[in-house]
Amino acid sequence: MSVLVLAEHNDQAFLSSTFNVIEAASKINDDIHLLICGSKIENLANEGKNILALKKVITCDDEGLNNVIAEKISPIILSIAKNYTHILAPATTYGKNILPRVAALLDISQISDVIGIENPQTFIRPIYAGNAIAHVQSPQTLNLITIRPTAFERCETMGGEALIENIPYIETPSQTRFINREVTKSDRPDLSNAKIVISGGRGLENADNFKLIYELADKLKAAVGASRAAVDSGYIGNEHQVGQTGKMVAPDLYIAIGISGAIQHLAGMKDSKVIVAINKDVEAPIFKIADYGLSGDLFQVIPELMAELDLLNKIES
Amino acid sequence: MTDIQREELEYDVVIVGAGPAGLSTAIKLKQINPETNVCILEKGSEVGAHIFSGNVFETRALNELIPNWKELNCPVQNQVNKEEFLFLTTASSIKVPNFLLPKVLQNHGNYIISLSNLCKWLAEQAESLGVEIFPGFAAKNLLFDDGDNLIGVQTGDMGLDQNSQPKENFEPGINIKSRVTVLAEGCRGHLGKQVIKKYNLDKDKSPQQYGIGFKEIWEIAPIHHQLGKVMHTVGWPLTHDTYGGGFAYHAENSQLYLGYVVGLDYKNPYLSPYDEFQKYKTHPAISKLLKGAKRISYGARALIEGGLQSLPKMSMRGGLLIGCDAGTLNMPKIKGSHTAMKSGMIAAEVIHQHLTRNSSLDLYEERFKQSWVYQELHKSRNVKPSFQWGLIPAMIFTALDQKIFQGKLPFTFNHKHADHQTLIKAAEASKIEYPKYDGVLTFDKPSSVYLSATNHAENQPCHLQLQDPDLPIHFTLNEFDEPAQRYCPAGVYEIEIDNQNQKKIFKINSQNCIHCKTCDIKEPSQNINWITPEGGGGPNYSGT
Repeated sequence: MSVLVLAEHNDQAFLSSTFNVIEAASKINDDIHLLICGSKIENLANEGKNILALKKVITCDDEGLNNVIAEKISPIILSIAKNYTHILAPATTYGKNILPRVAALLDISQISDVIGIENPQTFIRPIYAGNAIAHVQSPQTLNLITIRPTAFERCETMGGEALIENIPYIETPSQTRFINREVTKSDRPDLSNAKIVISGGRGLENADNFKLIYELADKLKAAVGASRAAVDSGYIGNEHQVGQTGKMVAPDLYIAIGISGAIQHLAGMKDSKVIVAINKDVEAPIFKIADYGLSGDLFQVIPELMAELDLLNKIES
Repeated sequence: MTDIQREELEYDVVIVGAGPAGLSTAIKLKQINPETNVCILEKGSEVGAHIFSGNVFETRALNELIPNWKELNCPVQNQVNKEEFLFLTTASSIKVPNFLLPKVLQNHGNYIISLSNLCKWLAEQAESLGVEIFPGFAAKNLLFDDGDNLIGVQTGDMGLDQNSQPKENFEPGINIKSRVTVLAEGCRGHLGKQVIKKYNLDKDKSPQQYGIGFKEIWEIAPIHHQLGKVMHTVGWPLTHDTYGGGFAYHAENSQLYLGYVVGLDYKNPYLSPYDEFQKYKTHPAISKLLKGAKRISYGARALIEGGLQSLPKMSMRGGLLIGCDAGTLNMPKIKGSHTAMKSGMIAAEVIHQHLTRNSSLDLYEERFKQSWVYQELHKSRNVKPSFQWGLIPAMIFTALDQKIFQGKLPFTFNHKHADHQTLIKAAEASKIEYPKYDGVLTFDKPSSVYLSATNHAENQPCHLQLQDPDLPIHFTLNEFDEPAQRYCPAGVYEIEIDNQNQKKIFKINSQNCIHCKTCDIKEPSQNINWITPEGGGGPNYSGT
């Protein structure tokens, strides 16, 4: 049994999802190899070999791989696929772009958005928008799996002594070529995998007041989320919606401001490690699941909080 | 969206709604003539997703339709073996001896079932006979020819945004042309509502009467569970001038089907049917069953209660209106499934004659009058109207009417008002303080709606249309304290204050809608028109 993990990276550094996927791999078997496809990735390879769980780091370093094109990366994966029983990728746009193509070329079924490993042949994944959890048993001798990063811890990134092996780039004819990349310029982390999320709800009362949330998020280098009520009332766009029909998040810290905590919202954030709630209604259901609760008027509390944070920053620097 | 080219499909018969009535029509049609082309459109994501009912089932129609149903693994298995009828007071209950109960309330020989599961089974039987069933497709509009004959239905466009503009995934609806269109959408179907108006089908009839029925499924502790036991209650918490009552049916897998019905002719605008139901569960007779139990499902649906007096003409040029869409439910019996099925079977026979011999669909009226459904409805017709006099007089009258006179009293009471006309002004009504939800027996609306697994595709046109968008704030709020905040079992309607200008706004959270139709019925000015949202949306009931 052998597991191959597809590294998600930007040529300079690994994206955090890679570490979650390696952790998932370690639940399957301890013979784990990391495949890094990219251009000028020597530093990455050296970083990779320190990851405790890895036995081998496989690199494919070529200018042809300097952008993430599924048509170019899949042949590389295919060339070594026969050596493995499991190939894992993060269930992010990156992994979802590449792995299905590999699966199609191998004519096998992919198992997507896995949140738990029961045993090397049985995987746990949510269905019906998370209303049910399916245990999927696969008879396939090779399983292609995308892993939901928030469902697994970060693996240990030091203490490893993996071997580094280089494999040749395979030039394949393709109709696809890279033209341009437009990245939304946001210093704010992506909501789905941010470590800290600050969410605003109906209590903010209007779109203007949401600037309190943005300011606080900037100070904490957090992502901005919202409840359905805030989105439906037009305070913020629906890409920020956290909940049953929005995004599922599981940050280290979730601060819910002016959010009552209806079950539909809780469904999207209850797996957060620490939950803080600020609401002027003492009876708000959110206080039942919050680790820390402050009942008070957010329009007073948030400015006070920001002042305290400024003070802390001054002390620390 | 009338100027786009639409695909067309042709069938002999198109049926709207995969409920007991629609499925029975389809099955019977194929039994009579396997060559008939029949399709069923179902707006739920699968058959059964929008089926919501108590349900204590009388097998009379099923025995006629599929006599060997027992051998075919039909999910009708849990026979009623014990019955209780309780009159609840604030703290205790009085058991009415079974022999005093009218025959309609005696359930020997009946079964406690999940109607949703029965419909799934009926759908399998229908499909094996060649019926085409299309779940996830809502019949949005009726199609008429130049002579105003009904010639089919149009499915809803998919992929429109909230301003009715096409999104990337836009798919125009399809025209389904058929020689006969059968409307079997259940209580207060939106197309049924249209044909009743268009063809004046309710001419000379009493205004229709409705109730709202709630049900929760609880997994209860085995020591409190008695498989096959049926319990009905009247009295607390409703006051004697409001029609309604509760039920508790012990089903398989240690489940309890716990529910409540409130007549929608209630008068107090501050009454919240949802909260009456939640309060009901705190009565010792009920709460003792729920010790150590877990709530796993919730839902609500309007019931049609007007009986024979309100039953419209069920046939029109090119179509038939059957089941609860017309109003075949027997309210005193608290059953509508077997009558819905039979109404569908009669429809199949009349349709077959129409297709082969061009006889008129109006023959339906005759055939219906000759059937046991009519006899049954005739016998029960005076019970509901008697509740105008209050609970105790009604119970006495019902005992006389049903047990002594066997439903044969030589007069028929009519219903005086439509349900939306009965509210008194808020200024003249007394506010009702409902107890806080305890999260153990009683729950808030969002938590309940969560258990209905209701969902609608994001960014689509709002399917709850206001004739006058200003009416809720300019009139209904002052006159009746906007009762939509209370009669909607899903918390769709809210009064909010816009913080920009401190004005009150009527917020519609259409995402929460569980397709119960209560707003369409009870809105005092009939200002709310329920139309179907994109197919596949709405609740996803399972085992209900």
